[in-house]
Amino acid sequence: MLSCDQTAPLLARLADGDLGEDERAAVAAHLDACARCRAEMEAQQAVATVLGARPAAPVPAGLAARIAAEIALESGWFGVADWRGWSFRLAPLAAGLVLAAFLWGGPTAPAAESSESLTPIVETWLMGERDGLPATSVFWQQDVTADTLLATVLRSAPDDVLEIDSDTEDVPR
Amino acid sequence: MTDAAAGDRDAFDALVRRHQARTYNFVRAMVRDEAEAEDLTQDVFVRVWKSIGRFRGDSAFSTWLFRIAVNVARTHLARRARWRPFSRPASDEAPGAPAEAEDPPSPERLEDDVVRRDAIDRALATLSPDLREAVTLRDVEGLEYREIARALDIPLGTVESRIFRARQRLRPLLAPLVGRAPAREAPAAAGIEKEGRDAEL
Repeated sequence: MLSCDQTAPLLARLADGDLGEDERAAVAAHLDACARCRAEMEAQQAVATVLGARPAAPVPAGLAARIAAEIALESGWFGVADWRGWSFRLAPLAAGLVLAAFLWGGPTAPAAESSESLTPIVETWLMGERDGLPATSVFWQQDVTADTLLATVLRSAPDDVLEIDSDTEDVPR
Repeated sequence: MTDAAAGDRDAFDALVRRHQARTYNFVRAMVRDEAEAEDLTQDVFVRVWKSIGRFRGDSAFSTWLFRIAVNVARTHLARRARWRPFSRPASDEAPGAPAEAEDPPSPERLEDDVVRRDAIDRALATLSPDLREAVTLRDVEGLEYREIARALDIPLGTVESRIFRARQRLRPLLAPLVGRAPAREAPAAAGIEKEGRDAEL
């Protein structure tokens, strides 16, 4: 026969009618001989009855609509931050761009384009210099070496550079 | 369910309407605060939406949903336990705090649904989150023991033990309500859409 310690954990399930036939018979045999466990099982049933009759909390009005709005927000603008979603959807586009770059540009293109692609950088730099920003910000923003930048600057607008240098640079003389 | 998992918003909205009452009711019993329960229920469904593609159907959808709700409620309760001592005086919801500290409602008032629910939730709030979630899933939401084991990711024997101990601790606190409860309906009370499990999947 089961002991009280062995019976106790099964009392909750017995009270709920959740025990299988064998377990129920074993616990019932113990309960026949143990008034304390019988009282405990009745207490378990009583508490379960009270909890089972707990009035349901009414759902706040408009909850489903607010959930839908939140999900729309997550799926829409802020969903952009979810890289798992958009990276998968943009994968074909990325593959197409890589293919197009390979077919049209070829491996020799970067050397020829390097000075051309620096022109906007130089313009940015010149504008920054007029606003008092240090030229190092250009280096920080773009992976450009000093030599290539200087060569491009002189080729693009040497007069501007010299004029700006004399006006803005605070060089000890 | 399949359409919702495939990203169909209309299907998911229907899923929300179907399960929101039960989810809200559970979270409300766990945190005992209407506004927090509403926010957390919203959080639960956003998480469901984000991860519904990973639902494999090994268990009922409602069991999986409750698992997410349990995690959301647990995280919230842990955060609240960390911050509440700094934000307001210790409340009766602290684990182990005696519910008797508040005057029990009069028998007449217990007839009122709101008062009766509050008395039950106040008693539940004295339990540790582990015991509270197990007994709430069983006695308030009506989940089977095996479903609770899956929802909480614990062995069946642990579920039995937690429910047994929770009821033992609740017994003196709920004594004024014993014998006054209306006849038990479905495990989750009226107003809760308790769906047929077979129809879920």
